[in-house]
Amino acid sequence: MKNSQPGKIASFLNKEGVAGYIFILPFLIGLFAFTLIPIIISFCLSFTRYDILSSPSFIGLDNFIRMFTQDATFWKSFRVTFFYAIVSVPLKLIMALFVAMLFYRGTRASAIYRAVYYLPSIMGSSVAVAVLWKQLFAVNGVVNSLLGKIGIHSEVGWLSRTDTAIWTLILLSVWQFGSSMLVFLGGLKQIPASLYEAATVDGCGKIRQFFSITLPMLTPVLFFNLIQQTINAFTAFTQSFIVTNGKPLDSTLFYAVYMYRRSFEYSEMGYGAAMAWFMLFVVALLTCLIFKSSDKWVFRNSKEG
Amino acid sequence: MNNTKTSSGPVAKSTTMSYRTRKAIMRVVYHVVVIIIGFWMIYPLLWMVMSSFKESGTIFTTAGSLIPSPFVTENYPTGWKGFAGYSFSNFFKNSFVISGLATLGALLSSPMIAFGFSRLHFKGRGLWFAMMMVTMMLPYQIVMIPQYIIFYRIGWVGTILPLVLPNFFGGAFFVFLIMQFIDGIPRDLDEAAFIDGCSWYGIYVRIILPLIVPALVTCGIFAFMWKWDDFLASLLYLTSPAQYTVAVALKLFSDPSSGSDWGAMFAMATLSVLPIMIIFIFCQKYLVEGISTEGLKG
Amino acid sequence: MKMTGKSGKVLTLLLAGAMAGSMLAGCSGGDNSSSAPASSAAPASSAAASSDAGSSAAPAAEGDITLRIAWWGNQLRNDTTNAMLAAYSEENPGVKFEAEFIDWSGYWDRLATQAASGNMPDIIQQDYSYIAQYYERNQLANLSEQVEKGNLNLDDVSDSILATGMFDGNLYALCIGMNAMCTIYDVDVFEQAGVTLPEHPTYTELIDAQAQVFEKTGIKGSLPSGYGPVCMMARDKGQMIYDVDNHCLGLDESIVLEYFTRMRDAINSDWHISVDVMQEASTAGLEAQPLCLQTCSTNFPGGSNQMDAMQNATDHKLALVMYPKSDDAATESMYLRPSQFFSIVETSQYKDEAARVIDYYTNSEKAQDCLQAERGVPVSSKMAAYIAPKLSENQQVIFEYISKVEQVAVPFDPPLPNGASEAGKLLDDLTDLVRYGELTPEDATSRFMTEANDILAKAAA
Repeated sequence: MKNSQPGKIASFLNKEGVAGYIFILPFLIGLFAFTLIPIIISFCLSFTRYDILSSPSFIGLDNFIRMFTQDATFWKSFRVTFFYAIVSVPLKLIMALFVAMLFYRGTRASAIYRAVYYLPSIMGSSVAVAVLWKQLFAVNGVVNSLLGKIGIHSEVGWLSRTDTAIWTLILLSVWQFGSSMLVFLGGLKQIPASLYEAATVDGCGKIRQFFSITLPMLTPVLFFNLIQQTINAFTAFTQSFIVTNGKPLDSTLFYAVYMYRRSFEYSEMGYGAAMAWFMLFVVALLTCLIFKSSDKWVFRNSKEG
Repeated sequence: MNNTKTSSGPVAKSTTMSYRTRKAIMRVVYHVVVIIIGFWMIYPLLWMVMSSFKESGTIFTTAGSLIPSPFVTENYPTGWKGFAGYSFSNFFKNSFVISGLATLGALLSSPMIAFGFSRLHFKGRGLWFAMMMVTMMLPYQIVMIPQYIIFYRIGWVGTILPLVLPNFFGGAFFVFLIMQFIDGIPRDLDEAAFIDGCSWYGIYVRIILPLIVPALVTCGIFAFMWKWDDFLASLLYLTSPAQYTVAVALKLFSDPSSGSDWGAMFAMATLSVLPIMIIFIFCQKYLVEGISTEGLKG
Repeated sequence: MKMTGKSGKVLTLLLAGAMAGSMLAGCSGGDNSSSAPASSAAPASSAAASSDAGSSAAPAAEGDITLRIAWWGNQLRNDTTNAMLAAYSEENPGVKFEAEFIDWSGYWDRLATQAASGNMPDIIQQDYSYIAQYYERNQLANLSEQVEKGNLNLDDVSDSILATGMFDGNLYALCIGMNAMCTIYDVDVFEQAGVTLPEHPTYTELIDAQAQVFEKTGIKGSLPSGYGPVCMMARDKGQMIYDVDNHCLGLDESIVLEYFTRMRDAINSDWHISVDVMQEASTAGLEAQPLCLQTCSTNFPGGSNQMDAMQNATDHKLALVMYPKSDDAATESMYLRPSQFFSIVETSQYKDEAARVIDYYTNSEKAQDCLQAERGVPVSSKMAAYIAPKLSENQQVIFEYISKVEQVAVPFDPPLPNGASEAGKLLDDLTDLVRYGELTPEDATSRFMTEANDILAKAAA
């Protein structure tokens, strides 16, 4: 039987090199069919002037030169986005982990709390959220009336000041920590109960357990969350687009919003593509750094054979 | 895990108050604090729900108060009626079909790809993995026109295929997420199975898949929710209002130049978050300590 | 563990490669690509589109066709327009419609994407700020030909209205509802203060009136800002904000300075709403404007048709007077302008039939009954007279206002040039800087004059 034809095929298919390709085959098909060509085209477009309605014309590196040397708004939006990412990602992850730990129990109350704390995230970035956020932080909004109740009279329009507007968007991002929390919950679920049992027998307190068992065992999902949220923060679009549209004075102008404005509102698709590729480069660089550092802090169970 | 409660333990014994009372007080404090913060977490959601019961014209003039007065329900039938003969039952059906199929696709393909990347060594693995990461870093707005042209050439514009089919070839985020979980599974498990004569396919189906259920549930929720909320791609590929999803239809209530029916919009927005809420509540038990700790006692 | 580490390295390498290596490769590839993606995309796919459309239409009986028609708008517009289309289908059984309606920003994203692949609908709703772009790229069909063929009757439409959609003497877009700049004020508040506004107030009259209202009632006032007032102030002096032919600004520096100075003085006075509130209003919808929230006594919306929505959002009575004019206005500046246009797309297979639909929209009483003047006053004077008595009280107010403006109106500026939206953004930003006190009116003026000219010149290149 081992030498029969089907047997040969089976053992061929079971070779690691072959099986690997079979497992990732769906990805490869999708890549070549739907993703690769658009990516290549957008890369090529970054060297062109393209107004969408007529054919692109090749202009070499002009888009990049203009971006780096003449476009102050480009750098402004880059700084805004960088600041937003640097501040919001850690805050969001801490919040997500904290809430995941707090409500990680099978009790009915925990289940309800978990749902309640997750709810903001399912609202996504709908129009409703945009309207709400403006209401909360308006001059006559809820935040100021709350401040009034504790004796602080405020006529600040939180979304109208260049120094506070970005913080309201950061708050919006942190408020929607639910997706990271879900990933943390999934990670917590995978930690073998036996580890905790052993630790309890050894007399470890809950705080020690958190730092010596939970946190190390969670590092793979923390690693994932970090990368995902970093990419998300750098490519963030909707919050700024629907809540502030970059205002006031471009202080909340996210990179992706500026890119969109260039591409569609000013019909400079080539310039937009150039911007996209620069952002890709920056995000990829950051991702690489996180990947590289991961050897030092991400705990992995699988030993290479 | 409740740190506040347990860390107070040793201290409590030395005070006059009994440990038990103190613990009970801490518990009450904990619940009160959690509920107060929770109220502010969902305040905006409450605002939306309450606004959907206000008269459409008064939503902004009474924005500071949560309680609708008068309490009206007419926004729901008005909103549900939809546009030009297409009601929201139609939009909800479309959303369910598209999100459901996309979720199915993601769940079929992503774990498979993740297993390939995570466990198997083959030539070009690093390259393909890097390509996959790149696909999730490029903003959609930039690939949208070239991609539209491709789908248009294939003749898929006006069908749900461009929205659903790519998910059957793995989503980068899902694959990457599942990989983290697979990396957490000890290799001795599959090595043992390998020695027992199990093929790679057997290991995937019999060992890995059952162990990554939490990851699959998480992916499923995301896949569903992201598709449910997706606006831009749905807008491009679904041209006829008969095909619109809820996310697209919600936009039709607000027009900056000619006035918006906010009451109807909030009413339908409220209904549109219900399915995701139900899915989350239903699925979350798979994500937390359950009856069977099917963890890996390795 | 190894996986992540290794793939990290490859990722680094790949990116280094993509950024450096393929930059070189990309250049040679770029040469082709400059024509490749689009030339292969646009014309080829438009050919595909036409063959698609052709093959589906050809075998069918003559006249049995499906027209695609697209617009942006709200629930009411979707319902009224669909009713109109259904009425047309009833009278012309061979013609069916595929309506593609969506919100404003989604509309333009989709239209651009469809245009890139030659897949636009047959009839599209157009706006003043986009129309030149689509005309210049040869995306719009010549409607004058359809008038000659007798498919489209424009006898009852005034020439000054037609002129708004003309390029080089030919009609490419037909106005489908008239609109005018206006001042909306809160009648209840003004009456309470015992203040009245003249039919066509000057800026001084407007400011004095609002200052008095504030003194008596504590309700603040506002002034228009951005493109609107600057455009109108230029027209007051017989100039135009943009010199379309020469791709530069067409107005005197002194006008811009007057504008910025007025902005600074207003924001520093008691009677004007605070800069914080102004900012909020700038991203808020019609219903959340300070006028509707009853914290401000005036508003200057994009057009008089928006009065309807605003009136529905407040229980105070609102009224319309004309847009403020400069104290030393030399000529009339008020004009009638389209709230929207309809255009037929150049790639359409059914231009004749599409023109007949637009004709029906413009000239049929049945159509007016369906449409309820939701897009504004009908352009045909006959139809406007026909529908007027059937409308709601709000709309009658708007109709009366439009007919008042019609008596004084002069033609509007030509459609906006390329770069106008970026120049408009610059004007808004500079206005904000002046309001925040970070820029003097003088500096803002000189920046606007140089930078806007730069933008316009670059966009034309």
